[in-house]
Amino acid sequence: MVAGPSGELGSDSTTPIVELIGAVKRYGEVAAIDNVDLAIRPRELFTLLGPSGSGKTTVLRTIAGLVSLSEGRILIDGVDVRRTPTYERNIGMVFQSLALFPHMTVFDNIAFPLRMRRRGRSEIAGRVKDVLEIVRLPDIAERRVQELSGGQQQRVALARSLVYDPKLLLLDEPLGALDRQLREEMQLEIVRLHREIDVTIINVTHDQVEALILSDRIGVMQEGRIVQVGTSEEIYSRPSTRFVAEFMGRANVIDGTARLDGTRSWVETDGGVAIEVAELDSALVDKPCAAVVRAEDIEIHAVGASPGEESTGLSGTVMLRAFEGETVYYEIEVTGIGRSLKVAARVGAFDPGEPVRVAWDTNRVTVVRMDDRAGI
Amino acid sequence: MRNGGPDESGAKLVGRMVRFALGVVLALVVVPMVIVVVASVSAGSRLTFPPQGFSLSPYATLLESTVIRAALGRSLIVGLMVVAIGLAVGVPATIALVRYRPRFRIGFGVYLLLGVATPLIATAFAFLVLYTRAGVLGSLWPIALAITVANLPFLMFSVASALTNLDTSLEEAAATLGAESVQTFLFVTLPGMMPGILSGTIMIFVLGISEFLISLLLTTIDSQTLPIAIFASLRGPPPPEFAAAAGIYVVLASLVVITLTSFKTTEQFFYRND
Repeated sequence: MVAGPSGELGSDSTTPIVELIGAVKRYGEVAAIDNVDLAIRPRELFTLLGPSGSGKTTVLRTIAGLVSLSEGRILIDGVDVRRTPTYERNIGMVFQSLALFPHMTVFDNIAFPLRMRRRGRSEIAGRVKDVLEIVRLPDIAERRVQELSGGQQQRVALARSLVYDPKLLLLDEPLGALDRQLREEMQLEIVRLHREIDVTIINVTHDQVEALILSDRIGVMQEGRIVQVGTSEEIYSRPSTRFVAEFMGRANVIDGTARLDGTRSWVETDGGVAIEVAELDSALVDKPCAAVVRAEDIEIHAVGASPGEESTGLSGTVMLRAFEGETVYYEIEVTGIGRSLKVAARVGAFDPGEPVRVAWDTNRVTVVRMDDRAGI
Repeated sequence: MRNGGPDESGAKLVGRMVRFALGVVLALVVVPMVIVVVASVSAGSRLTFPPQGFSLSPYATLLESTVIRAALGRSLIVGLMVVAIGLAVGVPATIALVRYRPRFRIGFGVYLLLGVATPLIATAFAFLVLYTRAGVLGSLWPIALAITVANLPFLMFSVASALTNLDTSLEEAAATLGAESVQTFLFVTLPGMMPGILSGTIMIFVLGISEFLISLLLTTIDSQTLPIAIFASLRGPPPPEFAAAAGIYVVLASLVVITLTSFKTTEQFFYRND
């Protein structure tokens, strides 16, 4: 096997545990996943992030062997698994519905994969006990699954898919149905499990906050394609397309045209406002693009106070103020940029209707190309 | 819950109406059975209601009759045969129709319904012609076969609804956990279908032991089932034994239902909360 994709951190030259090469799955005319290339590194916690219908679950199901590819290949540990049925892939998977067997006790549910592997009685008892301790649920082995709380069912489903030590664990949005508090608790639980157990996890979610919290790396999906792969940090602060920028949360996406003049580069809006940027990909010059400024990177100043030298200052009017605890959320109307700016500020001293100046560090501005279907 | 207001009184009214309707339905189901059972323990030589005194003699008379006893035995055998044939044919056929969605699936459904929709006398007559030709009249299994054909859809609909409600991710989960398709079927699909299979089984068993019209045409004097034997013994006004026989049916059906629903596993299936 040749070394993995070069240029990514440069530290990882091991065989990817899962690799999709030109993977396509069509249902009739519609491609659920369209030419997906993806390499998952051993031991990482990788999240496929995207809106519903973007194909992330289909990618997961092809890896599990529940869906077969129309085109392309899937390698697990470097081996093409086209002819390997699901039950021989030795993959753990937690389903959105959890899929706990309702007619079995917790013990029988967790023992199921071991029984399928014809393990001995005493070994099964020992391993079920151990795995229940790992998910911190001792003493519930004899309960029926429908007697358990939502969080307990989550842990049992995790235990069942970990008890046979799979190298790969697939999570198909199992946390989607939980209330916020329980979801956050389970997210930390997954991070803890991932640290304690030698397992690679591929997680699927449409919740960007979950993706940022959990993941070593994130792959953002849109309409069956992977549009960006990177660490949480990279995806959040350097989105590569307009779609990623908008999907990753409170970002101001200001459409315009990229301009370069000597050392100065900026995005010019249709309204004639120039958004200065520190860096600009030369391929984007004079092309339609968008400047992305995150809500928390914007500072609001009273009119008259002077913004820093490295910053852009724009005049605007406060339209809305909402107290959010740690931050105060503002919407500031700025003429000439086609939309009002979302600002998450630390101070709440400005009232609706008040004229203000907004400013930000030009280094924090990312220029993204408009969405197209050209891949990365 | 909201307090006061027209919503609440409206809800109360609906609640009262629902309870009233439920009461009417329960009464319609229960009252005839109560009358039959009460009449069956009535003293005297004629069937009367209200009863003139308590006596188990109708049951004694009934069970002393060797004809009736033999017929009861035959009915139970026919009932079991109906269940056996029904399960052997109906469960695989239902799985095929629901899961593999063959072409002409709707056609199959209509075809199956014909067994129920056709007047029983027509079905019975068709079988009579067939069996006379084949020379199998007088055995019990042909009767069971004909009854199964007429009642199979009841089993199949019951199994189909259980199968349709079964979360397909259960089977997918089993596969990821290492179960081959046969194991998945035995340990996940089949248990998941059990509520439907059990209620369907109860239904066709009770239909099998009490079926009248088909049996009337297909039984000979030597293969009379209980309903036919009772019918044949009727001369003049109904004797108390008639009520006793009906009483036996009521008790038998209740026993079957009670037994099946009180198995722990069955209970678990019927009342699982998802």
